[in-house]
Amino acid sequence: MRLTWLPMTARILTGFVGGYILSAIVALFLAKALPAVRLEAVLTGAMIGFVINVVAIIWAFAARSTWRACLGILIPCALFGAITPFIR
Amino acid sequence: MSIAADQARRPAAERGLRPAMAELHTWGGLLFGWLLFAIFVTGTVSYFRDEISLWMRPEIGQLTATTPEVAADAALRQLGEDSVGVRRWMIDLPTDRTPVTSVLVLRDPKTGPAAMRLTLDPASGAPIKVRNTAGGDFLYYFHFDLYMPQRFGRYLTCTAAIVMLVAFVSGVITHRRIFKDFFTFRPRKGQRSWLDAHNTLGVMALPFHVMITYTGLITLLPLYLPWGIEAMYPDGRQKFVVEMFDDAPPRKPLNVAAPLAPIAPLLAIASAEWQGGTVGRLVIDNPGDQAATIRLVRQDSERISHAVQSMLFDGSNGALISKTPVIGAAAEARGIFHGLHLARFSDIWLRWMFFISGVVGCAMIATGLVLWAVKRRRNAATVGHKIVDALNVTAITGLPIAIAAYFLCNRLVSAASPGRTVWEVGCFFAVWLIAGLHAAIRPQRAAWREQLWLAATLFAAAPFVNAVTTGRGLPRSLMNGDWVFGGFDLTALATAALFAMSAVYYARHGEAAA
Repeated sequence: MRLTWLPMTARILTGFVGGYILSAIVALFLAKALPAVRLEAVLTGAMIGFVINVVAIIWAFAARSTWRACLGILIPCALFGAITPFIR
Repeated sequence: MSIAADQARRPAAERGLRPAMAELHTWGGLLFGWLLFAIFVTGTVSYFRDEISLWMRPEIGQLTATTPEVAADAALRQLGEDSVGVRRWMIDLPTDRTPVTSVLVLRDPKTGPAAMRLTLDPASGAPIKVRNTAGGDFLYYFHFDLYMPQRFGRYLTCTAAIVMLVAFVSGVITHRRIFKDFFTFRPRKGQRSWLDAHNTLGVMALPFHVMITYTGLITLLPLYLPWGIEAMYPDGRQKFVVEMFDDAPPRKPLNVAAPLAPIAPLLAIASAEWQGGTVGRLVIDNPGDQAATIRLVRQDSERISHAVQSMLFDGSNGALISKTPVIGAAAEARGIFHGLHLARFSDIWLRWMFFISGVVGCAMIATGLVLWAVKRRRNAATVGHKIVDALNVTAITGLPIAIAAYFLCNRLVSAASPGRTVWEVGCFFAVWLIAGLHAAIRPQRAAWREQLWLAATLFAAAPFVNAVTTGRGLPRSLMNGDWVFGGFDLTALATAALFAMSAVYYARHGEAAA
């Protein structure tokens, strides 16, 4: 079934904008949370961030419903976004 | 189970994974395909960046090899005669790929040109008068800068790389019978043939494609995902640069004259530190001043990892100031990813394997773009379809035409002309623009036919124009064992043959070709 414009727009925004935001938050979270010297933590976070970005876009289009697509990105964003400011 | 049947089994509000991935692959691939094709072509060509730069400066003859000690000493003696107001000499010693010493002189603008490039004879240090050209560097920088102002091109390249990775994943999911279909090719069947070609090319070099795209992102890591750096380096991004690239800002000059310490002992110390490794680059700040520093950087072709190894010495007394600390696992991993992308470590055979894999990648993207149009041929009269057709021609044949024109321009613009770099680069973009206009105006079949023939003609012309203008033609190169010139000319002829064959095939079979 072809999606109508609204769910399609939602998935595109979720995948490409939300996906980048999630990868940025995860990269930031890992940079702060990993127990290593800062250069190591920063690089590890960013190298994993790229993978998260790709997986998030795939997820946004693969999820069975548009709601699942959006929540699948939003919830981890909120989760990591809530913890990260409190890390040291 | 067909895609339609797969869809029919699901409730109306849900949709199957494969059609969803096919849709993502189709539209993501189309929107970014032209840009990705340009990035892949210029990146593939850049495996031979050094060789292209040599071909484009034919004044540099076949030179005999020297040791780093001789080259460094000769260069410093030559440069020392003109050190007033110099802030930095960056000296790239000769390698087995580039037989000359290349120097960048940065100077206080009050005392002379702010930046100046010199090409020196490695044995004597004498300057070699070479034509002004951006050479292979232009294609190399276009590969990720796209010749755009600020960092805009780099952000665009990163986004395209993410879409490329998404296209790999979604393509593999869409294309479920990977192994079986790998041995399937149905020639001259129109759409089926393009699909088979796209699949086979995509799968053939898939590990290379994934590696080169991911590592490409890694090279632009601080740009695309700077958030960790911003948070963890409140003392400034400069600190990150120092930790990652071991590149500290220079000391302030004392304005007390002092000669540079002899270079050979320093090279020996560095070589011992690197267990017999060699110095590839010397960065000398404030030469002739008491605050001068000499930074010796290890040759980047010696190791897979592109994590910098260097030693910093006091320029006036030769005392060791600092050296690159042992780096951690993540930094080493980043260095290896970066090194894999640049392939500076590879010998000539591996380099050709990388090049061929890159060509396969270009062909994969090109067949994907053509497949989109062929599949929707019944809509050929719509504006959208016409735009796709025109952009396909502009990218797939227009860009190679522009590259060939860039090479030809290098031989046809006077070597003495001071503004010739601008002419060469301008020629590249002007020709590409004209190819785009041609593709927009001409009927689609005529546009393909004419541009395929033009690409063949221009690439075939390069070796001949080279022979006439430099006297270093193909027969002589082959007899002298000059593999830089011989290799370039033969590759140009092979490229011409490829385009000519495509043109003949297209004329005979139209889009049922392949």
